[in-house]
Amino acid sequence: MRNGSIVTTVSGTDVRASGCIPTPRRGRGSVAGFDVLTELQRDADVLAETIAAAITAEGGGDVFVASHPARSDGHRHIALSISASGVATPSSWWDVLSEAVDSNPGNGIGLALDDRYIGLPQLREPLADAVQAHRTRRSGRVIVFPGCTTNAGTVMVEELLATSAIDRVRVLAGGRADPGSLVRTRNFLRPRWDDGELVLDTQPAAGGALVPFETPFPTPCCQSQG
Amino acid sequence: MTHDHGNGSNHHSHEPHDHSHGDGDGDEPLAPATDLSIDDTELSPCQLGRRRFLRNAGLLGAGAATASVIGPAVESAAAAAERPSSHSSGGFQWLAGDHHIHTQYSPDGQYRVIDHVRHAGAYVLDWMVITDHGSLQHAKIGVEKVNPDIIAARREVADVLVFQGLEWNIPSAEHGTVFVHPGPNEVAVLKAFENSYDGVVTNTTASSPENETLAITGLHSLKQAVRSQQVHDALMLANHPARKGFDSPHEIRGWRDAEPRIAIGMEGAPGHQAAGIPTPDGPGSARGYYDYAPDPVNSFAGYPMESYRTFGGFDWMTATVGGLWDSMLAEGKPWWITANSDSHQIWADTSQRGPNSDFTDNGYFDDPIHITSPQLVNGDFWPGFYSRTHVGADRPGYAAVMRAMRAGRLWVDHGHLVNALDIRLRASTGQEAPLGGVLTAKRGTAVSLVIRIRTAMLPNWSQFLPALAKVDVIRGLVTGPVSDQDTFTAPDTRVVKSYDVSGMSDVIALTYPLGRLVDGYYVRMRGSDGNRLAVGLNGAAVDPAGPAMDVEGDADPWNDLWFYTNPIWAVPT
Repeated sequence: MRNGSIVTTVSGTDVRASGCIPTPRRGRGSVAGFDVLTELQRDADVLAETIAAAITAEGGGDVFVASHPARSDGHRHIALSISASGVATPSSWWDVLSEAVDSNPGNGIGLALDDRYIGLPQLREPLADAVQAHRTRRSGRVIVFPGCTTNAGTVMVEELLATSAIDRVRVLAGGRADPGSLVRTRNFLRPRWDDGELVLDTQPAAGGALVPFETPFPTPCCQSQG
Repeated sequence: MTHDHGNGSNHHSHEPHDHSHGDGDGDEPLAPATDLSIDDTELSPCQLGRRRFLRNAGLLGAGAATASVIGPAVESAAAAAERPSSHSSGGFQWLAGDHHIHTQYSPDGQYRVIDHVRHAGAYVLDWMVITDHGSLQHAKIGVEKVNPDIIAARREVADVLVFQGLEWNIPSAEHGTVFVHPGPNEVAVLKAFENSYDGVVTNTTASSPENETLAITGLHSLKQAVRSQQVHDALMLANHPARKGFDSPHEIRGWRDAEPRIAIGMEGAPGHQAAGIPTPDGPGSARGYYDYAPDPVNSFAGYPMESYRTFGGFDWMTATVGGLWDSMLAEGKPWWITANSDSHQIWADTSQRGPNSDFTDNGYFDDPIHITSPQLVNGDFWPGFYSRTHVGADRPGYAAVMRAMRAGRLWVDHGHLVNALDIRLRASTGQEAPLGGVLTAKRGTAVSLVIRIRTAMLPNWSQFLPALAKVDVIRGLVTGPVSDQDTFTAPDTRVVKSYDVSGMSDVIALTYPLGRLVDGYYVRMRGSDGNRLAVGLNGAAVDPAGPAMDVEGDADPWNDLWFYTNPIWAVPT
């Protein structure tokens, strides 16, 4: 399916894919929620990739892991949501995620899958929100998705759309992306779900290329908050 | 001298304690009604009525800073009597400065105080503020050790006013400049403030309601330091406000409304303007180092991605017509913009930090040493080299600079785009208001914006004569205080006039008729070299040719120059 025929269409200033990359279908399949009260985005990324690797090893198929701003008892942190097309049964999911929980001892945890939940009571509701955002593809910063690692270096927009789950490439401030525009990925893609679409935000960069909005190495700030 | 000083003088009084000139703590003789530091309960019934009127008109605050709202006719008459009306810079001495500069007492700094002050003097700055980062080391060591260096620099470079300040880690938010009038307690006040209210020192940088409250308490403490005459004056301005989305609209409004005579504004343009110079000639980063993404824990969730980038070198809050800044001005309250270097390490400089320095233990880096290789990975300019904040002081001296900043007599430019500006609102009756002021006139009075621009007459520090290509008038309706403190749009603000001034030189004189005064409004101006223009984020009907978003890794700052003024309000009586 990945290499099936792809039609790119230019709509407004964005380039969309009308393709056949598997994405989590709305309202179907299991979506897990996972919360260890992570506060740093880079820690959430590492956690997401660890979980994705474990699920992939279980035959995870098309794996999506997304992060969501969460709040419990006024405490702002990051929750994760996970879906995998190829995991046979919810129970094998549970095993994988429980292992991830065990390896992340911290201030507290929450783990949600279908009607099961373990962890701190106050994380139950934010996790349910994260799961729902993932299920409906309403929102979420997507860390792991089909094509996230194969699109390294510099790729054309149409190629990116054809070989990944990304539905649309948007350019900040009303800029324009063409199918042939080059995206210098910096090997770091963090698209987001927006109203059902997986959107990669980009911006103009040196050499006429686009770069993703989010850089893997933002300027260190000596007194930063995080 | 490449800049115009209004009365032709470029000589300052450099006495830190200028009591004899009546500068005092920088206060103007304000009516109590407009001084928000005075509680309602302390006002006379007459003053309370006055305040209610102003509050209902959405104008309380503007008057507090300028006094013009309560007596423009008096002010104007005084101006006519005392100020040379023919003067191109409005009767004020326009003093160029920079309130955001780091030295070897910052953990990411490098230079001595005297290095910065001598460069600032050479690049024709009149005033500057040393603002090393708040930190454990700085609170313990740096805040004291930098002081003798500053005092020595005041003596050695007599043409430059040197304030001591601090780059405050605002609890729950971004950084801000805090600085005080020179005096025997300048260190004590700054040190006490840093120890009690700096986010890093007190571990309160994380976003939370408690930490937001601590920031407000810190501002109150500065006011108290002035009120108790520990220092003559103190000011706070938010630095690089949109860089990381940490300064939510309600926090900014909270600072302004809590202490309007202390928290007066923000950087309209951040420093680090060389950061976007392409590799291998420069860092190849984002202009201003604005290369961040929202932080899910600390950023205000409502900001769009564009807010994390610069536009023509300016911060999104300022660069967006109808954006956050305009939403604050539309409330009828003062909030001013500045432009600074944020100098840490200078692009193409041939020095480096003192080798084998131990900042952690010593609280400073050893003096820099010469190296052969120009440091093209550095992203900053010397103070005065590129970014300037022009202050319309009514006399020389520290207190006058602070007073003028509080009054909003401020405009900013990059690359020395223009030499001088004189912008006034003028009523048909002859009343006038300067930048930061409020023109009040009878409903139906005809009002004009009177503009005089003195173009650059000498090359800038990149050795070319900048050419102004266009000038825009931005007008917004005063709609009163917002109910949602996180508002960051002003739907009734737009560019109402653009002048093509290409090829004009010397003095550009323009008059823009604003019609008869019906509803309260404000106007502000901006101008450009015309090199990089784009439709604004709120569409062509609002801003058809505004600053373009800067290109990451390819932003030569000298090819994209802008000036911005602060606003002037017009209010019917």
